[in-house]
Amino acid sequence: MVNVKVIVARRMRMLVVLLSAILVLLHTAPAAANARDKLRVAVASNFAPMARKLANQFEQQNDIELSIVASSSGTAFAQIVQGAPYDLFLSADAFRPEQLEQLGHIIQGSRATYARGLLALWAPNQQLPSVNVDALAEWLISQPRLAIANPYTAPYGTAATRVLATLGIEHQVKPTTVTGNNVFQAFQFVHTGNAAVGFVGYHLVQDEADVLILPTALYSPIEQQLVVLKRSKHVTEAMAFRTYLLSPNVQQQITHAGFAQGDS
Amino acid sequence: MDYEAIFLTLKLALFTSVILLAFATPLAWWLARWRHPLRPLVNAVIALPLVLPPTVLGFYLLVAFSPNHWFGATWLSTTGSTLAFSFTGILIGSLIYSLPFAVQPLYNAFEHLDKRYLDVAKTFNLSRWLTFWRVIFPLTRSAFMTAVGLSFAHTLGEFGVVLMIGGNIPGETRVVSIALFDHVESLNYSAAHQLAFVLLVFSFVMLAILYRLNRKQLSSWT
Repeated sequence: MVNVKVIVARRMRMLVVLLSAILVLLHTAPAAANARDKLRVAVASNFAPMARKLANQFEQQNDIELSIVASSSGTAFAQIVQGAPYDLFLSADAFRPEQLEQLGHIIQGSRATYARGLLALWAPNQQLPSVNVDALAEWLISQPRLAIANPYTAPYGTAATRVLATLGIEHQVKPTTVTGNNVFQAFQFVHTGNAAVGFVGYHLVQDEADVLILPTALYSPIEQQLVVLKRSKHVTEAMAFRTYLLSPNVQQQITHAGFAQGDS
Repeated sequence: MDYEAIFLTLKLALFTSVILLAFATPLAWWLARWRHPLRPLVNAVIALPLVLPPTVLGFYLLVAFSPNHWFGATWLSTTGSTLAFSFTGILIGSLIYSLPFAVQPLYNAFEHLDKRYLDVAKTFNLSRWLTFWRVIFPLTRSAFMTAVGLSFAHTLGEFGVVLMIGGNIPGETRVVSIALFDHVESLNYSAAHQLAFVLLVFSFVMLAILYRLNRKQLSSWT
């Protein structure tokens, strides 16, 4: 009996030692591989694919490695305020970068608009109305289900409610409106056929048919701003990426991707 | 305070746990008696919601609910309404999402049920219904409480599935976890704290009651 207990105890001890060794190895191995620090960029999901593409180009031209972390602007904001180790933040709006500036989290003078988001109506396999206030209002009211992004949290949702308010139909369409958490989800609701029409970012649907770009008289284009964070240990590199994003060449690529250009 | 969201969440959790109980009991009973090489596969399918990211489940449901899909189309033609963005839609999501929490405790209890009790019931010529109420249920009561309690509590915390198929409609699909997420995203931290605190206290009290009620049966097993 005693012998069995001793053997079991020995085995348990070996197991614990083995597990600990594995954990220590797993913990230290990536650190060794990442000896050279990467520039960490928090990016609003709606710009993340474009940011990855631009980051690749930038990496080829410079000896700086970037890692793009996509999340909603609100989540990234909360993380930054709580001390997340990002060097840059590319928000989907201007409000959160302004807030970060007021809270003293950014390098002074680094806040700039890198792109302006355009709002579009997407209604697959439908006859779209002419860009005329009455025709647009009537058409939107007639739709069985209208998808928008969350007006309180997503800039494209705010812009969509602005359009509805300008058209004077925000109350009429309320029963038919469904809200996606972000502009991607509004896109998804339309894409899966659960909503007939949606307010989405033009950059998401520029290759699709049945898309109507909304005139900017109905809303103000969504200013997507970036900031370099004060906590960064790589301010020079971060500022270099900022300059790169605002350069005329990159700004042109951004317009081709379905945005309007930012400050340059 | 978002009373509408709180009320809706409680309603969703109640519907989910009651329907699941009615559905999971025969399923778990059948599964516990079923001797077949395919049994592990059925068990795996039931356990899937435990490991799948809720957003995956939500996305599949969103696709299935679409009028372009046979399921969504059939539903639309028989009921005249669509499932996405409706209470019925998120209820279906919750039923799938919480299914393992209802089935597994019952399944375990039924499997460990001594067959001699059933044989005795048979000698008394008890009907199936009476066998269940007089013999099986009293012996497995704690498993039933666990099943109801866990599926209720699990539905309270449901987020990803509702986020994907709900459409955030107040009073219809905007549950507490979604309202909470909205508050955090819109930097409305004080409202978020309030709601999170309510959810935390409620879940804690519920689980504590569950463990308290189960204490006797649990200790009699060991």
